[in-house]
Amino acid sequence: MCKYHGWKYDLDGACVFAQQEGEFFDFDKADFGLVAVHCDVFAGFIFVNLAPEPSQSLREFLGPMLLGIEDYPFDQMTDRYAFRVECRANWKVFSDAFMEFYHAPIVHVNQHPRHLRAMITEMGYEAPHYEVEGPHGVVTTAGGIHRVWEMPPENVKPADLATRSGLFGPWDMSDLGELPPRINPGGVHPWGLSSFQFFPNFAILIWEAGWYNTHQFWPTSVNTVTFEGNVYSLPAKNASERVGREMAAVAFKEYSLQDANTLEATQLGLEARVVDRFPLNDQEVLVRNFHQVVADWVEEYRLKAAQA
Amino acid sequence: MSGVRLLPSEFADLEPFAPRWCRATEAERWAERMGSTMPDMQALYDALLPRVPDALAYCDRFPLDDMPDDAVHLLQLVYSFVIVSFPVELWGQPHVPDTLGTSFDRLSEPLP
Repeated sequence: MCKYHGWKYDLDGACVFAQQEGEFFDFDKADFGLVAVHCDVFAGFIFVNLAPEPSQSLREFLGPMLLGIEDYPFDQMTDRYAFRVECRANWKVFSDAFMEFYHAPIVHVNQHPRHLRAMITEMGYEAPHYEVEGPHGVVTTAGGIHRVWEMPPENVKPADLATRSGLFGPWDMSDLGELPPRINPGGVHPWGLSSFQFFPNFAILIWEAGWYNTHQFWPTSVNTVTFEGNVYSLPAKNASERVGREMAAVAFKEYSLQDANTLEATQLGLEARVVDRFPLNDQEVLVRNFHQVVADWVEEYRLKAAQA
Repeated sequence: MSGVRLLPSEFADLEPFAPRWCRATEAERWAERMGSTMPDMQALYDALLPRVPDALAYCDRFPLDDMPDDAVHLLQLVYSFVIVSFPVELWGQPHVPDTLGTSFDRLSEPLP
């Protein structure tokens, strides 16, 4: 129901009531139902396409790389921690930031115990597997340096030891049974996580410890974006498991704040229009592909609009 | 201390922290963290760190959807330990460094 004049619609979107209907001119409610948009479901996620007639189906658009994770047990992971922020940055500035992980030893280094920080920054980080398919991409990390539970205790935060959890999730991993091989497309061993980038504004990050999180970027203007992050796990069976999930969800917020703040500064820099180039390195292959695709799509739209 | 006991009697040593830090949601715990001094958070952290395993063992005796109130309070106190552990172990201040002016609000979470 519309809360302003009280028009009502049924579950199919048809208008079934218009306030003071007799006062309109040549009026037929049937002409004023809710506007239909195309939508389809993949792995429980609803995708919307605003085009009057989509040029391809959702499955054609996603392609084999993303379809390969369809059988991950997303539907069972109903413990959800939901976050949102309105951020003063263009949506692509935000989206770019999550397409590689070599920023981690810099912006996130102080999430590690103090005596390790210089070494971590010095080592840098190179992800073992990147893959691009059409407009989409995936980057995976190796689990080796992330297996905090195999580290000497002085290298682990005491609160992580106490809760048996941390940045990479609960240490007592959820048993999810056999997983689709495509969640680790490079066959990386030991595996850390895979970050699947669904063009243009959605990502699913599947973690070794048996949980996943999503990123969604909703552009609200040229220099603002609503960023939503959700953390999903199997339902906790007891308080210990719940606290492990809480630690992972709190860590998620701490590092997301670190990411978000630098991006607002990046936006300010862009708007100063002094810097006109950003060099992109080898590991930023997903960023390069993303911007090429965005530029191609914008150009195609311009050409069509010019012809129309 | 008022006469109202919030925690199970086995955890009477933590009772001084309970009125302030037994908070149901992350939004409340975050607000408490932002309004705290480092000595306040250090005191909570120091008291809880050695007691977390016992606290969880106590809470694990109950199903999550049918916990007595005092066990729920104890679990909430552990949540507050988690949220102050970052300022205490890493940041040296309530906020994540260099993020003043940025927020990332938790809108929903499993309860308790």
